[in-house]
Amino acid sequence: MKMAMRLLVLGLVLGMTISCLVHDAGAEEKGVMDRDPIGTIGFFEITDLTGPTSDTCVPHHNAIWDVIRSLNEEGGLVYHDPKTGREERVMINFQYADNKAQAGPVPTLYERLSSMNPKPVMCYMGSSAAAETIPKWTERDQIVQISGPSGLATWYPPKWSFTTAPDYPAAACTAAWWAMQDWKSKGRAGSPGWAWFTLDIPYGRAAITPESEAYIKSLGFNIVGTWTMPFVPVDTGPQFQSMIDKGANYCYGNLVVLQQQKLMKDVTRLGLKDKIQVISTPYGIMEDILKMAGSDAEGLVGVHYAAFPDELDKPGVKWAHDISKKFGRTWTTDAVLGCALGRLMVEFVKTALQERGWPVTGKDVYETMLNPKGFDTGGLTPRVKFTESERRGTWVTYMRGVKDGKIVRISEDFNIPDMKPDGPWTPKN
Amino acid sequence: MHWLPCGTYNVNYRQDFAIFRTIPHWISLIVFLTLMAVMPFLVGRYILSLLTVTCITIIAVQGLGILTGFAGQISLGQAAFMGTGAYISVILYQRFSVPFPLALFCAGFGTGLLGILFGIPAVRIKGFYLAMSTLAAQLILGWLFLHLRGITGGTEGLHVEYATVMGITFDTLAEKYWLVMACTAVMVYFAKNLMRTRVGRALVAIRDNDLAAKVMGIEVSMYKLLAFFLSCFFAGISGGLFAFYIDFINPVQFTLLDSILYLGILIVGGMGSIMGPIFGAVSMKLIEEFAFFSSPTLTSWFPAFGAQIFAALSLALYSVIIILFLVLEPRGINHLWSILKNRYRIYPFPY
Repeated sequence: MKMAMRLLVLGLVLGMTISCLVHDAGAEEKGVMDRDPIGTIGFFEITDLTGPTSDTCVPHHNAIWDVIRSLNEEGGLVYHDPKTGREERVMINFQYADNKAQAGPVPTLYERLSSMNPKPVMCYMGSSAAAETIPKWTERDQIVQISGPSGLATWYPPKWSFTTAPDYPAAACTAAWWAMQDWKSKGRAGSPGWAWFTLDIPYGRAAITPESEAYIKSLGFNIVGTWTMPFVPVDTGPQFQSMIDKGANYCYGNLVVLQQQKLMKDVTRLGLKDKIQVISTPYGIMEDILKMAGSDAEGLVGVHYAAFPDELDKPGVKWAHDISKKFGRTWTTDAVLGCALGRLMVEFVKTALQERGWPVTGKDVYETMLNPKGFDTGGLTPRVKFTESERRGTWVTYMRGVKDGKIVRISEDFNIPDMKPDGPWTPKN
Repeated sequence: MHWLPCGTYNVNYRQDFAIFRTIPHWISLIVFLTLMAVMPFLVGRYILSLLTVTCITIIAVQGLGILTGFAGQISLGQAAFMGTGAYISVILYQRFSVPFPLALFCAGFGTGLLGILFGIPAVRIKGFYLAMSTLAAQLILGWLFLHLRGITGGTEGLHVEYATVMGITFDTLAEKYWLVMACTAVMVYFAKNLMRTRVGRALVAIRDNDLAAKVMGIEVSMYKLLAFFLSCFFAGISGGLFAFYIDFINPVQFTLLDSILYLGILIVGGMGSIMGPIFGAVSMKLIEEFAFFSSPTLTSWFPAFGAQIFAALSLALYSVIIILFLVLEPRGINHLWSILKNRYRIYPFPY
């Protein structure tokens, strides 16, 4: 009897020990998705959702939001943590606010969003008013700022604000480069005339700098003058006529689709298409121009840097397309750009996590972003690179044009010149 | 009619004119000022930022209140005058090394002089036509901010260095808040006292009936220009403080929409009073923050509508509230506050 009891107790103890060991062995083999996330990363966004530039900002916002939502739904951002030595995942807490393209609400919005818990490591500014106001604050608070707009204050002097879009003066230089090629291909002699035809607001005038004018003149252009239009133009015929009288052959301005479509309608109505070539910024040659201007859009050309929505052979474009369709969005170039932004933001954080391990701060993300190898967007946009002295990530553009009712590529890639103040193109006088 | 608390009566003019008449008044003032002073230790950066921006708005709308509320001259250019003050103060401080307090004062004074220039039409025209001339001020000044690239930086704007006064650099949010709060207290006190002097009475007389005022011997033209000067002085100070708070200025920060918003704040708060701009600024800022807070939450509850519908909430709320006040209480929150105070003082005897 005593022996039987001893054997029973021994058997129980052995059984319990073995079951514990087996349980532990099973726990070590749990996948990353079976474990809790290691933490949460904070992102925030201030953009124009209801103001005059919302037609561009809303699709970008939707795309970024979709990328983050999709990531969270799939379990979060998975990476290999050097500190734990295994795969971990983090969730992303994304908050956003609407500043209606105004600067007034920006301070309180920024303070509210930058104080959220967990402390954000990155923010996205979709509106110029926000992007240009806060670089000093994001530097102070060590939050990486990704700016959608690319006005000078968003990338110079170098702070914690980065932009992935070509700067506005450089986009104008792309247009001028193509225009000169076009002029020569038509066998024309002499100096073509270049006219600025833009909005009389900071965004509209951002491309007109001493550097961009110096570059345009160096190509052989004669800059004939600057013409402006209201935000909602009614009739741009007088301006076109005046430009042509002054000798303009090409006109360019920082516009959006709202103005660009009116220009094309007027230039068609007045029969001026063979006298002056209208060239657009990236924001004026989107798919909406085909709907708003119809057949009048034919012949419009514009600068761009993103992939076409139908380039689904590119892995990044396919990935973005799938996310866009998952959330029922319209698949356009704006969605491509927005997904590129979302992808890059996630990529920046993932790189920091893989290099430094959890937890990461804004400073960690900032330092890993200054990587000369750059970051790949899977073909959505050119490779994005930042350095200690350079906050502009994209240096390659190309030209698009409206042909037979479609937007198609019409040039090879162009390496944009450096348009920074006190730079190689600053006039020395 | 303002009722005094029971048992309180004035026996001389000094008592009659006192702003803070009773001991509870003084205690309330001291407690309020102390609370405002220790706010940076009690609240987070978001609330502190909200208070700072609200105080800057109070100064600007106070100026507008002197012009529109007391003198009856409408202005649609207050934001542009703020911008003028901002640029003057930054240029004087950074390019000409003028000490900050002097630069701020010069911003106000310079803007005031500019206000006299744009106020000259007010001597001959009023109402809608005067609104158009002040609208011209908004557009002309906006154009100048954009095109005087060598002075204002044009589209690139101006980066603003931190203000330094007697060796103290105002580079943290708390320090900026104290600076703005002190200036707001001074400006509000100045406005209150100004309206109790001959100048204030003259402005009110002009508002009520400028012909009768002229018959009474009030120099209507001079006082109208003085009203513009004072209004723009306040706007210049407000703009200067805004520039040193936000650390960067460019033309897009001083738009026509802001000028219209300030008028809306004045209407909601109550024209023709000193407390009106304070009530208006606080309430409209709270409404704006409520809309900013609630729109992402509403979007997450109803994603089918998209972010834009709920993001437009603040615009809709502003409009509805301004219309409601114009229809139901054109004298604004300040009038409601007066009624409440009087009722409290004579309760339970309504006669």
